[in-house]
Amino acid sequence: MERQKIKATYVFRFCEQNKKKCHGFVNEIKEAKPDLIFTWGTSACEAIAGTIDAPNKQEYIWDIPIISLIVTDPIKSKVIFDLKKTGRNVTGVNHVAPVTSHIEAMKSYLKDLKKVAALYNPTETNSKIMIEELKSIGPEYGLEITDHPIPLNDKHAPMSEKIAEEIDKIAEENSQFIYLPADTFLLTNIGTVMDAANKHKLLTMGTTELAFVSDNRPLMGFLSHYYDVGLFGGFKAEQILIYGKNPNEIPYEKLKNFSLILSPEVFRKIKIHPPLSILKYSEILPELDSNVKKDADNGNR
Amino acid sequence: MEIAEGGLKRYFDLIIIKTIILTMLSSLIMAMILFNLHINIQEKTLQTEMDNRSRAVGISIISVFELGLKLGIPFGGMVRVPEFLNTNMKNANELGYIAITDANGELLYHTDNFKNSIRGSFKRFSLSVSNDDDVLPYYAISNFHNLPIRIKNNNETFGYLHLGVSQTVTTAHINDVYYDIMTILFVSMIVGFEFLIFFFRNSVTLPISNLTTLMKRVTNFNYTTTALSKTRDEIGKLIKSLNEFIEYFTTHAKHLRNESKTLDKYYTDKDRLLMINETIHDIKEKYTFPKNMPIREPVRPVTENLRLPAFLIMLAETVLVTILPTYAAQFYDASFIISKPLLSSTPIIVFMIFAGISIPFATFVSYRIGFQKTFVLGTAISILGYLTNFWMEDLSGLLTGRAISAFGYGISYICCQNYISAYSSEEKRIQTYAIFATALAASYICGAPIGGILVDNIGYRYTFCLASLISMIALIMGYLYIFDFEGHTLFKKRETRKTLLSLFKLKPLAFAVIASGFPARLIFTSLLRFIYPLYLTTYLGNTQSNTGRIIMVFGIMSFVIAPLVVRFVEKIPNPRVLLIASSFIIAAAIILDTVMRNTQGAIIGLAIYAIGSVVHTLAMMATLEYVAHKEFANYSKSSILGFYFIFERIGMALGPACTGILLTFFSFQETLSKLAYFVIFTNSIYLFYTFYESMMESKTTQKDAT
Repeated sequence: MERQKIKATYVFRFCEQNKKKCHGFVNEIKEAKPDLIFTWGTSACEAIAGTIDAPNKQEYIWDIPIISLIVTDPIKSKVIFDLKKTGRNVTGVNHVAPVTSHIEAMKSYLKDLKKVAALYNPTETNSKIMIEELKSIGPEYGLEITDHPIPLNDKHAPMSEKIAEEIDKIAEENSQFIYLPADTFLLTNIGTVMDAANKHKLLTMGTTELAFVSDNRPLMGFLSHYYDVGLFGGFKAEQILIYGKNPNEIPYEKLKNFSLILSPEVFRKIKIHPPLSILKYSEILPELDSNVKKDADNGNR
Repeated sequence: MEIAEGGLKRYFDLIIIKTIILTMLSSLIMAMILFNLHINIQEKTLQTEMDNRSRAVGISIISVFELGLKLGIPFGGMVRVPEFLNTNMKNANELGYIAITDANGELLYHTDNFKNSIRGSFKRFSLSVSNDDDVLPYYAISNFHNLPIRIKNNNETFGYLHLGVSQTVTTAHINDVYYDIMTILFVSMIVGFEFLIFFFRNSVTLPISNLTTLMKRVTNFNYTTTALSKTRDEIGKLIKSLNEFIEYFTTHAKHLRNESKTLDKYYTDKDRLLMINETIHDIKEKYTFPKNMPIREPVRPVTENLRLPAFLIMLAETVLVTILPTYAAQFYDASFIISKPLLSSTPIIVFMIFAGISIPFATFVSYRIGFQKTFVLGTAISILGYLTNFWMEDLSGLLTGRAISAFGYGISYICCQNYISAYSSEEKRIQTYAIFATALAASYICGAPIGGILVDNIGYRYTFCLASLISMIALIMGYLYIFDFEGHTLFKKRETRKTLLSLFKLKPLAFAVIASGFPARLIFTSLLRFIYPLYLTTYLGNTQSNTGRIIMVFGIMSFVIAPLVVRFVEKIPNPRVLLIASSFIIAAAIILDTVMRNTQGAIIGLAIYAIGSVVHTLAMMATLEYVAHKEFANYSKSSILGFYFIFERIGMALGPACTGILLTFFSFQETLSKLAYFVIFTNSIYLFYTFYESMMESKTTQKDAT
């Protein structure tokens, strides 16, 4: 927006992973009547815009343009009717690479890849959608996909203490890769996930940039950078605010540029190094600290 | 030219043959000297160039290794290295192997085709170099130059990358250069000979021929004419002197005749009178004198003068023949509605359409301003077209330039054809068309390979520039040597649309043109200007230079066959037989290409096609005369020729278009098959019609006889 010299006042609200809290902002938005709303994540989008089959549409925003970012599958999440013509006041940018690309990336790392474990929070729509797609496409690539939802407690919430157990099961069944979908719960507990995975020398595939911002990050990822997502979202905002387009006329699009990223400290730790062909064209994440750099030097010998 | 008797030996007595042999020998000797010098330089330059290219590949490989080392991957623990090295080698044709050793020379990784026998040399190499050596020496192993590059991290040497640069690739490159040089030499010789023959003919043989004719007349006491001389050289001066002699002699002899009347009056001695009377009687009876002064030899039309200008305009075009489809294909992207093969054919289609449009314009302009000026105008327009292509390097520029040069080329081409029709006698018309056919053949011999070599070395733009330069020379030659004469019969009758439409009623003519002529021209442009250039490069993997050399085969065969075919066509009573046979030969040539799917097959097919094409062209001219000879009274020669030229042009324009469409949906072989079937089908129709017509004719003849 700044690059295009579009002057705007920004008001930020944080849901803190609480859908109810998120939904609570709807009234404030209705009173304030902003020109445009940005939502980040599927839950936030569902909470503000509501689904197309929600019975009580008046409890959501249907009359103010909304740009939703990082919704994995807006059709399956039912926030829009169609990708080309959304059919309502919502448009947006999809950030996740196709599942087929994730599979190809994993196979390029491990040529004889046969078994992939899908680890996810079963209460998150995004995750379920991605895992379903992985399970349906995986066999076409000669892969066996094993299902590992995080067990839920009585309140129907995933239990972080069960993550390590689940990963132990993954190791026992000899899966080679752990597939981590765009799952907020897992990303919040990424440290636990990675400690367990690295212990068993399991390769990990991340699908969103969020997984790679912590110190304990997956081995590899095939994703679009959030910065690029935001840029594209800004372009759509320009279409609405300056050119007066209706969100319905602006297609809900996926970014076309993805990066293959590698975490060097992880492959050094588990001692399963990437092939040279991947090394040539992947984005190597910067080393985390100087101690890790010493590992690098020692690893050469 | 008068030739002394004595079989083949008589040809070697000709001055022109001696000159050609001398020129060839001296050119060959010069070329060998230059070639050897050039090759020595090339070898060194090529090898360095290849080493530099290979080094660039090596540095790209090492950068990945060094990254891996930096990230902590053990040097001996890199993953899937052979796969990585094999992939890199695919992009570097000159590399025979890639190998990686540790610092002690122990082999760690290598490409699939690496031979173990040479691994010992790596150890020896490692021992011979130190860490301080910045530049590592390369050395010969077996058929390779081994290029070593150090792999290091933080100034510590971890190992060496060894690149095997193949020496056979150098040899192959040098052979390519050799073939290019020989091709250029060969083509230069032919072009040189064309000029040599042309100037020699004009300056020496024709004046001598005129002189010989004059002397024969003088020998037969005919002093009515003198010889034409346009040159001011020694021969010109000789002719001038002889003319002066004849004029002087005529004046003197007339004076003697007048004086003889006086002698009759004054001398009474009978014997002396008788002797004088006999002398006077001889002068009166044997010597033929004009009423006034001798008549200057009228300037005769010289259709041979057409050869060089025609050759040059065709050469300018044939330089571009092999390169246009691949040039047009460069502009293709997914947003085009039409397919890539069809796009490749667009410059040819545009050319043929605009060349066709130029036909009536050419005829009209020739009628108005004469052949010389028409030729110059046409050539000037085609130069403009080539310069447009030189200037504008996009698809619209290409098509605009082609349209302009086609219009100009068509004008010049039709002007030449009409010139032949106007000034050649009926008996010599086939021979004179053969001049045209051999000029076309010679242009293919020279133009096709040169175009390929030029594009490979200087690019498309400057190739267009060269074509414009050749056309400029053609323009000058046309201006100097094409003359207009009074009294030609070509344009006595103005063409009308009604005239041309009524020609459809002449069934023998219509069938010959539509069932035989039109398909043959369609195939001509399809094969030579479109399919072969694309087929040889895209499908069979030849370079542009090689493709040009292969298409040269068409020119060589045509050049050799044309003079033989001329004699045959003149003697055969019914040229339609040849027309039909040649179409089947053409079909056979195309079918051979579908069977032998390699470069050798393409060469053989092209050679056979050349034979069929030349026979067809000359037989077509003879057939036009044969079927239309009864109707020449009702239609002018230009109408009948014009009728054929229209279908010729339509066929030539449709050829690339149809082929482009076929290639969109079918493979090369399937497209060639369909073209062959088309020729067979149309030719069969013509065969049946000819047979039917012959039967009807013989029935009529029998009826008349009874």
